[in-house]
Amino acid sequence: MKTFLVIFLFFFCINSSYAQDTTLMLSPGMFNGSEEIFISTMDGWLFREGHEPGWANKEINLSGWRKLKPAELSAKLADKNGKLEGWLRLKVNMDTTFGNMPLGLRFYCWAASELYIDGNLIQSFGNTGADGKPFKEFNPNNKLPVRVTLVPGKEHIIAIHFVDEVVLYSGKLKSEDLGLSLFVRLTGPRFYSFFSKYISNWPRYSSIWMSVCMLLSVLFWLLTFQNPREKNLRLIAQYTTIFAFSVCILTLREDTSNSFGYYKIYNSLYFLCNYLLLGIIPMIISQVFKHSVPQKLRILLVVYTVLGILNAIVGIGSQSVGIALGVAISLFLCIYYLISSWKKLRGAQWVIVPGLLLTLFFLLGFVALTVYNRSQNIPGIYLFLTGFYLSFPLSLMAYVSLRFTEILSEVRENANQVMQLNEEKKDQAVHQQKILEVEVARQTAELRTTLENLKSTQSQLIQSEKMASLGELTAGIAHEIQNPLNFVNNFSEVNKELLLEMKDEIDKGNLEEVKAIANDVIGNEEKINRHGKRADAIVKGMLQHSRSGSGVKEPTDINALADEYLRLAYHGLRAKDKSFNATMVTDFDPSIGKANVMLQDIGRVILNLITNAFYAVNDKKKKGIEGYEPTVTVSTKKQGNKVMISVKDNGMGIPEKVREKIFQPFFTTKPTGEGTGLGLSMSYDIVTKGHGGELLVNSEEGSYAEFNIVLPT
Amino acid sequence: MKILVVDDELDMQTLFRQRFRKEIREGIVEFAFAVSGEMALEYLNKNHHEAVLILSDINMPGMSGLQLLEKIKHKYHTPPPIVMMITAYSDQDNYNQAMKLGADDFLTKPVDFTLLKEKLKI
Repeated sequence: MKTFLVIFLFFFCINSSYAQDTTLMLSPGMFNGSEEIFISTMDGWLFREGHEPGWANKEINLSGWRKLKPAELSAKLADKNGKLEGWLRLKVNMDTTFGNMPLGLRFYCWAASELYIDGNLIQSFGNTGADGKPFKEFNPNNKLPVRVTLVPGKEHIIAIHFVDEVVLYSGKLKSEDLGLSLFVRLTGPRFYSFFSKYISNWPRYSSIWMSVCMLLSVLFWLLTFQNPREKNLRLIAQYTTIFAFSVCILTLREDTSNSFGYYKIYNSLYFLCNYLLLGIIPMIISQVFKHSVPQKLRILLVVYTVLGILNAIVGIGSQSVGIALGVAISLFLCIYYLISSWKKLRGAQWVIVPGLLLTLFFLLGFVALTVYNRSQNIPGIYLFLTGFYLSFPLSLMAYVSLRFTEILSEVRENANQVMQLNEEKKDQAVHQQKILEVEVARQTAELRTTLENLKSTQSQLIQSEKMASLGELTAGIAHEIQNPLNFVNNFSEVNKELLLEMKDEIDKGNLEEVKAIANDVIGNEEKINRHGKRADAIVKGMLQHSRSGSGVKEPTDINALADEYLRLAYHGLRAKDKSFNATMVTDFDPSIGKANVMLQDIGRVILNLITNAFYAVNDKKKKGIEGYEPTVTVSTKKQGNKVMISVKDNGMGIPEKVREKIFQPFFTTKPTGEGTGLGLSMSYDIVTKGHGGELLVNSEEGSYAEFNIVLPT
Repeated sequence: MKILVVDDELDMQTLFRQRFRKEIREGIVEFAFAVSGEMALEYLNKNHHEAVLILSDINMPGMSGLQLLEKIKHKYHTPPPIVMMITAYSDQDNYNQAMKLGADDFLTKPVDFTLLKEKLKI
């Protein structure tokens, strides 16, 4: 009996726990200031798996039903095919204070369902398959509530035919995605108009957000590519692009006709975008405020990305918790950077601050408006949303524009500095030029002085060279004069002695001896006379030599000159020596024209050479060589821009040893007394020093000697 | 005493003969002449004990007096001939060079025969 009782009680309890028919009392106070009562979580719901069209009826047998709130539905209840089909029933009693308040029921769930009130089908959401057509899920996005008439003070039966599928990859019901606690809501009187306004405004505002974000991202990318050195721009462009993308995705997600699969894809991408954005925002803040992005922030972005993929795409963990955590961390980082850089913030950096604060403000405002739903101010909602979406990107734009203003002013300042520097440099250049001019003038004056000193030194040198050459000559002259003087002195002394002796002999009457002495005296006198003349000739030659080099160069007919001196020399020699005779051959080149020479000097040279040549052939002739025809050849020839005068004789020639010495002063091969030894040396000086020419000698001993004067014209 | 006079000027021979005509007449001195260094050496080779004194000019064609001096002093050690240089070049260089090469005396032209006779102690 006791056991029976226990079993009875047990079954009773089960029976009562599964099928106790309670009524949900609803009152306007339950709106609690909002416009929705979430009745999915409330007690009074009964559930039964399976399907019977009659289960929608007001009065049914409740055996087999159990207490289960819609919020408690889960994949566990599904059959082996992953399908969950069942009925939910709720008995409601509306408080009389509702009056004639227009009410609605909003279904926010991906499951297909049919709503019955008091056994009447009110609305189908998706397709449960009850009418034989295939199952079709319900897209709950932006769907308006169903207007329902629930008479206050009267019990009504709300029955819901619920059909859902388990999603393979998550193992959860589709309806679980949004959370079944949000499934059925009783909406208040203003909700319908409020929500319809919200929905109708959505495309307009979302288009604005998308356009603005896309334009900004295009703008920022253009600026980034134009200014690769501004690192802030790249991050900002990346952020804005992802943001624009996320807004697009959001709009796609919010489309009311998406399938669950697409919805999930858009939703996952949207959340992933949000993770990325939350990672990039602190980077932008750091880059803008501190001009660098710490490695830690990059790592954070990677972590966010990985977690975002795991959370949003793979579906690990709660998306809202993940995003909330991300928001908290990024917010903390932004505040940290803001505070730590507060005192260093300059110019454009400040623009970011109101951008961040406004974003935060609008977010909080939006949350306040929607979560608590205390206001049905749709413009307000969209204002907050717009503010939330756009204040940060717009602040970035403001930052970029101000940054460019700064850059421009920096550039302008730099340009001004450069200009100023240029001016300074120009001034400096002018100054330096002046200094240089003064310096050049000074150095020129110095150089002029130096030049004058040099000139005087030169003339001194010339003078001293003259003196030196005179000194050189002196030795030669001394020797040459001392030798004749030696004879003049000694012979005259000897003559005096001889004459004294002669007197004695005259006294003795030794006439033979007197005659002999007288002959000696005469011989000596001749010698004295000869050596006196020799000294005279030396002095004259010396004077002639010393005169050389003075005079003016004038255009001279070399051929005529040579011819004239040839005759002079010949007749001069003939006058001295009647027996002298020689053949003269001339070969003048008429093309040589005139040469610029010192007439007297070159004449002296030619005369000297011709005289030497006559002497040489005469000397050879005296040797009595048979068939010898003494010949002197004078010829001229043009050699490029030079003129060559050649004097050739077929005399004895010049031995090689002698050839080296012939141009030395006082060197002579003539017997003592016949030559001064100055002729060739003087000639050499005239040709080389006086005219910049050359005096060359060719000879073959015993057959000829040839002197060539080469003169520049 | 035999004296070898080396000079390219032929009048030198006449001059010496006339200047020393008494001494020559009395047989105190005897002269030999050479008109070049080469001829002087040739003479010395032939009569190398005869010339006791050599009087030489410096400035001569061919071998100069100084070259001759050097050769004589180098070749004829015993008995060392006395070599006197007679030159118109009275400068210090010539004098020093002559002395360095072993000249015994240095006379300048015009020749002072009284001084020369004193030096020869005749």
